[in-house]
Amino acid sequence: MPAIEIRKISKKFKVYGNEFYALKDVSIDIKEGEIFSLIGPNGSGKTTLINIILGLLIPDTGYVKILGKRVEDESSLEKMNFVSPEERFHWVLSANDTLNIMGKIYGLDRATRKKRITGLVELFGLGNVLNRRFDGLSTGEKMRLALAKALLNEPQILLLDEPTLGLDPDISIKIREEIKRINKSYGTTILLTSHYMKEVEQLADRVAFIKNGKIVQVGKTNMIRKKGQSLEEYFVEKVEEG
Amino acid sequence: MKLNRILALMYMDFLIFFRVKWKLAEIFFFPIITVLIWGLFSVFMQRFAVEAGLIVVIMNLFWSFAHVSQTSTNIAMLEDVWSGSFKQLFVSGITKSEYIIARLIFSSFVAILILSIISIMAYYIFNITLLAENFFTFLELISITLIASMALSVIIASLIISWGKEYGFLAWTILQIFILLSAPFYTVDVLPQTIQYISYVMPYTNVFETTRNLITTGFVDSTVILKGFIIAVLYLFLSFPLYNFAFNRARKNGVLVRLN
Repeated sequence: MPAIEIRKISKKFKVYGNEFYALKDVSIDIKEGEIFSLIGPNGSGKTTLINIILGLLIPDTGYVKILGKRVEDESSLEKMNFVSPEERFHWVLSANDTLNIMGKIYGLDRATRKKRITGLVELFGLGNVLNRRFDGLSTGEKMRLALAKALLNEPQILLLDEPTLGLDPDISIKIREEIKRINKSYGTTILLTSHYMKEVEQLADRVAFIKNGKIVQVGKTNMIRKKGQSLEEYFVEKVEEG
Repeated sequence: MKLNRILALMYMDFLIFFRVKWKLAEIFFFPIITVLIWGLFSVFMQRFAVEAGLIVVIMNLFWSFAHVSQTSTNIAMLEDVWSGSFKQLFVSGITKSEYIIARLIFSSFVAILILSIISIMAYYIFNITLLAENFFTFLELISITLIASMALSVIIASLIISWGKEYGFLAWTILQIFILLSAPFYTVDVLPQTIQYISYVMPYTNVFETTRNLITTGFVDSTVILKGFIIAVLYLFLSFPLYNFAFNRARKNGVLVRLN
C-alpha cells in the first residue's frame, strides 16, 4: 500500500469567468519510507496538489488516500504533518505556547509533551526564543518552530513545502540533515517541494516534474535526467519544452 | 470528536484572551460602560417614568451578553484567519465541528462572566433588583439569548467561510440587525406589517417581549418564553448543517485555502 495514493486528480478553477485546469488527471503513488519531491515552475499546480492532499481542497475528480484512508476522512490527517514557509501561528503566542497547544491537539499527555518539546527545542536551537512571541521571531526561527511543530506528533508522513526558503545556509544544511535523519531513523515518508534543485538532488529518492497541472515525468532522481546533467539543468530544459 | 482537541483550542483562546489588549477592552470595557451610561440614564428617567429607564438598562444587559457571546466566537475565527494559523489548525486533524464547538464553549464562559459582572453592577450601583427578584425567569431568558447567540455565531462563521475573509465585518454587524428586528425598546406592533412577520421569527424577540412585560406589568407569559426557546433551538439546529455545507463548499471552490 502506498503511503500517499493520488489517483486521477483533476481540479478546475474559474478566474474572471474563464475556467482553467490547475491539475489534470494527476496520478502518483508515494511509497512508504521514501523522500519524494514534486518540482515544477510557479503556478504549475504543486500547491493545489498539496492542498488536496491536506484535505483543504476537494478535487473535481479522482481521490487521495493517506495510508489507505481517503482524505475526506478527517482522521487521515492524524498521521501526517505539514511545514510551509507561509506557516503562521497566533502573533501573541510564544514558541513554547504554540508547541504546547499543538501537543495538546495531537493528544500527547503532559509527560510525553514535555519530553518531545524539550528534545525538539534542543534539536532546532529554539531554547533562546522559547518564550518570545511569534511576531518577535525571525524568518529562520519561525521556520524552525514550524519544523519542531511538525515532528511533535511523530508523523508517518511529512509534507515539506519549501522547508529551507529564506533560511541562512548553516540552518538550511542542518535542516536538510535533519530531514534525512528523520526519514532514515523513523521511516517517515516525506513529500518535498523545493525550488532549490541542489536540495532535491541531495534529499529525494524520486522526483515528479509537474507543469501546467500535468505530471510530465516521474522517476528516480538520478535516472530522470540525462547523463552529466544537473537537476537544475533538467528543470530549465523541462520548463522551456513546448 | 475528540475532547483533547476541544480543550486545546479553548486553552489557546484562554491564552490569547489575556494577551490581546483590544480584546479585553472590547469584552469588558464596552459592556461595563454601556451599563454605566444607561444606568445613569435610568436614574434620570425615574423622574419621568421608572419603567422606561429600567427597560433601557436591562435590554442593554441582554444586548451586551448576546454581543460578547456571538462576537467572541467569530472574532476567534477571524484571528485565526488574520494570523494565518487557520490552515495550521485544520491540517493538524482538528475537525470542523471540534473547531466551532471549542469556540462556542469558550465564548459562552466569557459571556457569562461579563454578564455576571454587569448584572452585579446594575444591582449594586443602580439598585436594579428586578433580575434578582425574578432569578429563574432571568435564567430562562439568558439561556434563550445564549442559544440564539451561539446559533448566530455559527451562521456568521458559515457566511465568512462561504464568502471569504473580506466578509469578516459580518462578525460585528449582523447582530445589530437581529437586535433591531427583535424589537428591544419597542413592541413588535410598531414595526411595519412585513417587518413584523420577520420580527416574530427573530430569536431575541420573545426575550425582549418577556422582559418588557415583566417590567411594565410584573407578569411573565410562559408560552412566550417557550416560543422563544423553540425558535432559538431551531436556529441552532439549522446553523450546523449550514456550517457543514459552507465548509464543504469552501473546500470545493478553494475559498477555504484562500481564507489563510
